[in-house]
Amino acid sequence: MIQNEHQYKVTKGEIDKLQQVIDKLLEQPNISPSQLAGMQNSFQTQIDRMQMEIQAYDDLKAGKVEITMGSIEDLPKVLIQKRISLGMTQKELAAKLGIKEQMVQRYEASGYESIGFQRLAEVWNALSVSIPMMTVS
Amino acid sequence: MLKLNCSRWEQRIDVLRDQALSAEHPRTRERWMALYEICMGIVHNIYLSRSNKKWDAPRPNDIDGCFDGMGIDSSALDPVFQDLDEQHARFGCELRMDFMSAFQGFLQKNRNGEAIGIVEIDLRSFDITR
Repeated sequence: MIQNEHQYKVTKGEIDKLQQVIDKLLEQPNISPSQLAGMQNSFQTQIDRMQMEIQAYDDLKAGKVEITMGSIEDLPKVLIQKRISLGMTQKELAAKLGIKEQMVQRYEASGYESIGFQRLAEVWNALSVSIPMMTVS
Repeated sequence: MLKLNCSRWEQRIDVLRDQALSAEHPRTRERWMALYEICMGIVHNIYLSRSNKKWDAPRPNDIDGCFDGMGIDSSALDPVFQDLDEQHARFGCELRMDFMSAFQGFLQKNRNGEAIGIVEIDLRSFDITR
């Protein structure tokens, strides 16, 4: 999952590089059809995956994604998706929390695994996340 | 990049097989089997990296890797190594056919474009005659 504009640009750059590799591969003489197919498939699969990530990031930013949470394990992803959908940068979230941008980057890169409950609640509130009242069984 | 000298540790291909059959964790067994199967093909080096491109799991526990697709006898290679989805289903990792070391370079960067280390394993150092 792409989390910020820098990763977005890096991913686009990687797609371009891998596409150039495919172009060079197709120019190679004397490669067996199975070898060519195997290598081309390797690169194309990776390109397709990264293009899907680019599309997912674009959709989030455009507010086209319905953010859902099926289990507590989805919480880190939900928080990142919510921030992106609000058009809020990691730096802006950090400013709201009164912490350094690098700390937000670390939280998100690690899936918020090291965050304390107090800070988690602050992130939740800073992003104005809400879920309907539910009955716990 | 780390280079593993398997002969130094007296590793052999049958050790890979033994590990695949006896490792404690099922996913570990699958990964040993992936190494064993690729070692049975004619592949010289493989390069392994933690799967850092897939963030969705908070604790990524799968492996991405590649091997040079040129100069190999593709007819001796199990077809599974040309099918990433099948590899993921069977081994929990993906070993891609590389060209011009492009994937090697790709695996040595994280999502931010920062350099990260990968592991090179020279499969020729496994003695397949023993």
